[in-house]
This record gives sequence, C-alpha cells and structure tokens, in this order.
Amino acid sequence: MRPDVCRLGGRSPRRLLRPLAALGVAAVTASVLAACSSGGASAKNTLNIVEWTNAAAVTYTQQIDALFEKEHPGVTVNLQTAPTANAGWPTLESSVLASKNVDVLAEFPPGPAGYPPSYTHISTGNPAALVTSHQLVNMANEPFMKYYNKTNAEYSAGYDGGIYGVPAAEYVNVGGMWYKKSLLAKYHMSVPTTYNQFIADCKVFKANGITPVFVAGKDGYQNILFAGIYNQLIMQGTPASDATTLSLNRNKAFWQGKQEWTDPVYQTTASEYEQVMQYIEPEAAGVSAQTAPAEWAVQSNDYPFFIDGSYDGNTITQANPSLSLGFFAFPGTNNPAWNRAPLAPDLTWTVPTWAKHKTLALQWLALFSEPSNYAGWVKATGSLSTETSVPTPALKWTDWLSAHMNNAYDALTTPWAPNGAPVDATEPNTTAMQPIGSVPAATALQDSTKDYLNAVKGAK
Amino acid sequence: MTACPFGTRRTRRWIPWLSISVPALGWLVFVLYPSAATVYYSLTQYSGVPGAPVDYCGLCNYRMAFTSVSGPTWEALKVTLVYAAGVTVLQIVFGLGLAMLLNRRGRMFSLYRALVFMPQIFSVTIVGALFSLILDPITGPAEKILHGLFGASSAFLGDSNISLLLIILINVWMFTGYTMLIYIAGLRRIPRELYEAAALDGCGWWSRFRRITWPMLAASTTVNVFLTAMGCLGEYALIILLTDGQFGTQTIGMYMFQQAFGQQSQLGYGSMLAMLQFAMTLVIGGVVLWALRRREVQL
Repeated sequence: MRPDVCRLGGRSPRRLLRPLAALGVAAVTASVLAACSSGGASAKNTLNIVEWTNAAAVTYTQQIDALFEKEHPGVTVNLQTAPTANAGWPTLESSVLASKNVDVLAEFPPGPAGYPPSYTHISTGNPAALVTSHQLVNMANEPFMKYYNKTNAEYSAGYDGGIYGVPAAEYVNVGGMWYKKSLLAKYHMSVPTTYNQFIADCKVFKANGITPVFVAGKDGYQNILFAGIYNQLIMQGTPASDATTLSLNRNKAFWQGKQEWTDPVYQTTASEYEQVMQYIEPEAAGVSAQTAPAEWAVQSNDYPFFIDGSYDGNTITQANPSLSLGFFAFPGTNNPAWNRAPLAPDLTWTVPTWAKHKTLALQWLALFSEPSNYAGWVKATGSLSTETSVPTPALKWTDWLSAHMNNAYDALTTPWAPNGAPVDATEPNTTAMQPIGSVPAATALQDSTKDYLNAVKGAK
Repeated sequence: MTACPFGTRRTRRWIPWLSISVPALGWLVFVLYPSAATVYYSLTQYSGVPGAPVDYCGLCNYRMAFTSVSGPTWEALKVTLVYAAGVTVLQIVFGLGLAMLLNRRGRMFSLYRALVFMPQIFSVTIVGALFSLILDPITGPAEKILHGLFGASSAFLGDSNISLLLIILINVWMFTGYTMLIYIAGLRRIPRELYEAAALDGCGWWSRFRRITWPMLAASTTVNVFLTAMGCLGEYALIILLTDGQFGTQTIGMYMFQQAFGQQSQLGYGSMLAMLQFAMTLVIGGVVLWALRRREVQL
C-alpha cells in the first residue's frame, strides 16, 4: 500500500500548518515593523556623504560632519571613501549612484569641455552625464553660493546657466613641480623661471651626483610634465581670461582635423619633455603615485625636483615635517612672464536630485561653505581658495603660488575623443614614450595623431 | 479524499513547477537578464550612469573596437592569450612538480602542502599590495637584493619587458597550491601495482613518469588546464592592483573593467568588450575542453 505522505502522526498536517503559518506571518510582520521603526528612524536621519580618499580632506570632512551632527541633534553623518587608485573610487561612485544611496557626492568637475557638441556623438561620462540627465541639484540660487567665485564655479560646475556643484577645491596639476629649498639653496639656485634655467639646474645637480627629478612613473605622473609644457607653450601671451575659449577652440580644431599631435607646438613639447626626462630617477617607471610623495620627502639630499600636483602638499609634509619644500609650475617657455600657473578645479560637492535627504545635504553644504569652515578646509587640504573672502592659506610651500595667482589660468582640457578611442588619442602616451617606455617621442606623436584620426573617422 | 497541505492529486502536479519557479526566477533575474542587458548595451552608447540616456547605435562599438589592428582591443586580446598561456603552462609545471614532491605521508609534508596552498586564501588586494611593496624600485627588498647580488636595478612592474612576466609569476605563486592539490588527488588514485610492475620491468624514473604518471593524471590535467585557462581569460583584479593595465599588461578583462566601470566609464563600450571576452572564452574553452577530453580517451 502506498503510504500517505500527507499524514503526519495521524493528525491532519493542515491543522498543524495553520497555526505554524500564522505564527510565521506574525513573526515576519513583527520583524519588519521592528526594522521599520528602529532602522527606519536611523536611516531617516543619516546623511550619506561619499568622497575619494585624500587623507587631509577626509579628516577635515569628518570634522565638518561632527560639527553638523552637533548642530543637528538626531542626525548622523555617514562618510564613505575609496582611493582613486586601482579603480576604487569609480567603483564606489557607480555603486552609490546605482543604489541611489548618497546625499552629498564628491565629483571631479567636468568643466566646459566635459560637454562635447552633439555632432561628435560622444556619450559623456560622470559627472556630465548626471548633469545632462538632470540628476544633480542646480545650486546657482543657493544662499551659500554667494561665498564662491562665480566665474570659478561656472567654469567647473556650470552648464546651461546652472551651477551643479560646489567648487570646494582647486589645485595646480599639469606642470606641478615640487622642490627642496635646502638643496636649491645649497647650490645657490633660486626657483627656475625659464625652461633653460631648469635644465641648467638639472645639469648642476647631476654633475654633483644628485638625481635631479623624481616622478611616479608607474601611474603616468610624467604626463603632468608633458601637459604642463604644452599648456605654457600654447597659452604664451594669451590672457588668462581667454583660456576657456582657447581650450574649446583647440578641441574643435582637433575634431575637425585642423590640429594634430604632430603640430610644431607638440613637437617642441616632446623635445623639451625628452630633455627633462633625461634627469629623472632611472627606475621611476616602477614608482607608484601612492608611495611617491613620501619616498621623495624622506630623501632630503636627493631629488631636488618632484613632478606632482599641489594636492599632495599635506602628504609630503606629513611624511617629513622638517622638509623645507616649495612648489612652482614648470616653466615650459624661456619667457618668465609666460610661465604661469595652470589651474585645475578639483573636488566639487554635488547633490543628486533624488537624494533622500536633499535638505540636510544642502544644510551640510551651507555649513561647509561658511568662510570660517572653508578657511580650515583650504588650510588642511592645501587647496587654492575658491571663496572670494577666504584667502589661499600661507603654508610653507605656497609662496610661489601666492605670488602667481593673479595671472593663473584654467588648464587646457584634452581633446574630445570618441568612446573607445585608444588612450593615446586624447594625449600622447608618456607611459609608452621613452624613457618610461620604449617608443621615441616623435613616434609617440605620430601614433597619437593616427589613433585620434582613426577614432574620429570611426565615430563619423 | 485525504486532507493534504499540498492540495489534491490534481493540484499536486503543479508542485514540481512551483518548486523550480524560485530558482528559475533567480536565474532569470540574476543570469538571463544581465546577459541580455549586456548584449543590448553593447549595441548602445551609454555611460552607465543610471538615468542617463541609452542611445542605440547598432554595431558602432564593435566597429570602433576593430578600427585599427594596432588598437587597444587587439592588443588586449594578444596580452590575454599570452597571459593565459603563460600562467596555465607554468601553473601546471609547478603544480605537478610540487604534487610529486609533496605527495608523501608525514606531518612536515602536510605543513609544506599547507604553506604552498596558503597564498590561495589571501585576498587579491593583499597580494597586490604586498608585491607592489616588494617590487617598489626605491624602497622594496627586491631592488636591494638585485642590486646587492648583481649591481643591477630594475623598475620591475614599471618595465614593459618584464611586467607581464612578473604578474604571471605572481599569479602562479598564488594559485599553484590549488593545482597541486588536484594533482595530489590524481596521484593518490594511481594504483601502486603499476609502479611495482614498471619497477620489475626495469623502468627508470622518467619512463615511469612518462608512461604511467602523466597518462594516469590526464583527468586531473584536464581539470587544471581548463580551470586555470578560464580563470586567466577573465583576469583583471591582480593586474589593476599591480600595474593598472599599463606596461603591456592590459588584458581584455582589464580593458573591459576600465571601460565599463573606470573613470569616465562607458558601459556601452565595456559591454561590447564583455561580449568579445565571452566569445573568446567560449571558443578557447570549447577547444581546450574538446582537445583535453580527446587526449584523455586516447591515453
């Protein structure tokens, strides 16, 4: 006889299951309600801030967070960070955007070149894509925006009449060069103001057994030098106020094939770059950007020059507090007046339109933007000030910057390149170029030209 | 009729269908949908930013990928093949060698086997950070050893001539223990009598290995080669940490990751690369499996 699998101990299982099911439903309901009442309450008052790892910036953000929590009892600020190296930051950014779990998001600002004309058919990436799809709050009319330099804010986060971010930081990236004051003083040198003077200084150092230049070649930081040179060469004699127009016209000229990487200005750039690179640490190709600032800082008697942006000022000084250091923009020309500071807007706070705590997010930005708080931020991060009433702090390495801020200009952007274009289409690949790589500079320029033209042709 | 929580005999016929509906739903949501979405996105220009427009462009991404034979896609495919072949061969050689060396009884041999297997349990992040520090040309111990022994210096991971080889070796170091374990399991299944008979026939070590051990390990070799090669064809994590795809180390998996999820990501283009990676893995995996199975039968 076939056993009846539905009978349990002679008692109808349906009679057993009914109370069990009721119990189960009650338990699930109770837990859901409990979760809603406890976790829900905390989620309701948790402001989620996401920024990339920059030790000084993160520490100061935490101080602002603590202040905000004090001023807003019952509100908790949750700060998430990830390093920009090894794809950590883009991964975190994608994750919080996909889950819509962020209220204040740090972004690298797109600048005007971040919005290519429609005829290019280029699909923009972050954060331009967020702006054009109306997912970032327009802050143009927020009261705290009055503190910021309007031109600066429009350049970094402006689009179609709106301002979609708070321009919290600005640095000198391309052309950035650190130096050891004591080493220069030892050999009776001052900050080089022309290209020839820089090369002459390098020759003196090399003759004295000192390796003149240090760079994080593993992460392509030598590109800071290459781009720094052509920025100075292209901008020579041009007023700083024309930089944006010049930059956009250059992008257009590249797209139309009227400008190429083999043009004379880039040939000169490559030639100057090759000369400087003769003086770098021979194994610089293996030095990573994460360790380079500290490695340079602790070697007080070697490497008088270090190719790196001004954003690493605090990392360097923390690694060797007694180091006497300075910063200047690489002189790409032989006319001191033409060698100016190319500026690059950096960390920009944005608020998504779908943020769960938009009001709290804007209140946090208002607190951050208060001149007294912002002054602490620029001092902690070494950023150039973007607020009109807050001066760029006088740190031990900012003397050159302070003296050259009045004629600084917005750095040129890289040409528009179709999606999927080879990396050297947008700029010659200095990692492949000698001495980091094995390709002669002239060949690298030809490769870039060919790849750019092919990519644009493919896109058309 | 019997009272039953699973319903009547008529309704009970639906129980199997209801039972598979949950995993089927999971498969639809977590496998079929992402796969179909990847195919679709590969035909679009889409940044990957949620809410951003998805512009259908047909085969534009595929056309762009093969615009130039010296382009990054071809380079990445070449690097991937070299990487997969290098890791597979070296891992098989070292794994088999270690298995034969450590396939003995005794506490010390258990310890040695555990030590060889240990890197497998480390996170890739830890291994990447560890070797980045070891191979730092300014402060790393590898530079000091090289300089001390030969008076030479090297940029290590920053040297295009050796960076891919170094990553291959690090991968082999990390996963050889796994290959070794599979080979040890295979070795223990070879009947002792075969070796005794061979010894009576006067076979030497090499002859015993060539005529008994190697053929009898055919199934283990199939598993090892297939798993290692398939793992390598999609490799990107270790490469991101060690070179970020620079210095001739950009595999197709790495290139795909950078395009789909890197700074200025383009999910459409990245999806196209994922499709290429899938096609390559399917073809290579199929051929490798077919060849190894055929070899097993012949042996």
